Amino acid sequence: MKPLLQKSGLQVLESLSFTDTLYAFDFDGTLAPIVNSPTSARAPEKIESLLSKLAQQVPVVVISGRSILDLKTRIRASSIRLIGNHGLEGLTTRKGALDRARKVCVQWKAQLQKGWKPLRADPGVFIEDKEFSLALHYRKSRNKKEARAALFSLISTLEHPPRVILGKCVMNLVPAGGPHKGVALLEAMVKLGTKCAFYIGDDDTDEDVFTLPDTRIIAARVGRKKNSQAQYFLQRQSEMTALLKKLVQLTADSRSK
Amino acid sequence: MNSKVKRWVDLNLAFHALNKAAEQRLGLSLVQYRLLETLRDMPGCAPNRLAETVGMHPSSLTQSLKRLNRKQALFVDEDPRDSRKKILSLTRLGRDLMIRFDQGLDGVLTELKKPE
Repeated sequence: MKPLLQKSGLQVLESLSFTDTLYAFDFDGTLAPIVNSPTSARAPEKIESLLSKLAQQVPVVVISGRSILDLKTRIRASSIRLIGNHGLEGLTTRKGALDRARKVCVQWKAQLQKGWKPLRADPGVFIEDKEFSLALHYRKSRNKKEARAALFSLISTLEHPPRVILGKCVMNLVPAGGPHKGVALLEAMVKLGTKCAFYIGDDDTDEDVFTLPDTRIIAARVGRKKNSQAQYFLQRQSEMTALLKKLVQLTADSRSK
Repeated sequence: MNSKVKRWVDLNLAFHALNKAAEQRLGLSLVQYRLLETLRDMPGCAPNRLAETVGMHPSSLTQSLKRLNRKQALFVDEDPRDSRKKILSLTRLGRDLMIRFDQGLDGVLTELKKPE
């Protein structure tokens, strides 16, 4: 991994601005800082304004584990396209797949609540219902290790085994066979007719993009991590403002020619 | 000389003249332009991949890449995933050379067509 905001990373960012590139961003931990409660996550005003400026020049998508309904309350600029539920709610949403996912999530939720007893004493563990997937949060748990083990054991009892995507103090349960962020990005590239893509995310769910064997995608991670497959990294989420400023400047320069 | 062979040789000489004139006046030969054009849509690609896409043998590509690197039209760097490998990207100077080439090629062709 190389630092994105230094010489070689900046050079690659500049070269992306010479062609039709899709700029894709994860939301939590990338556009918005990580907070204790997922409901209070917000992208700082400066980031939202820069993202909106970028979207006026080039195609921009936000690919998140959140539902689109939720994302819409956090990203107001209509020029930014939204892909939710790890790609299930995308630019090419299939109604049948969504109906199936909703049904499975209702069953999972009922099964989880039934077996929730060992976690009842821990108010820091809760289920977030994202309609087409579930997120089991334990960030506010007093004993994260125990909560994590209890959640794993509960998940193993679910009737339709989910695809479990681990995040930062969260376990995302996605119906098996559904798309992931990598598939969502590739679909968005096809749909929007771009030749390349730039993607940045901070979490294990983003490794589905980082590991794509596709040389048209340049990927970066917020926070350096030894085993990540991303090519570049930002030191911390607060560097997002500098990155977006650079992208706005580079794309504006390239379009002016 | 066999007239077919003569035509091929004449064609080869014409291409050679065009390449030379383009590089002298516009800063890029036809092959160099093709390489940059391909690289524009494949930022951060590996030299082998570029050779494969353009249809060149990797060993022939090396010389062209060296010339383009001297012109600062491309950027050669270590692959962030594997430091034994290299990646290539188009630079702003390279992009400007491509624009100059696009705008000037017709002029070069017209001049070459003029009888001496």
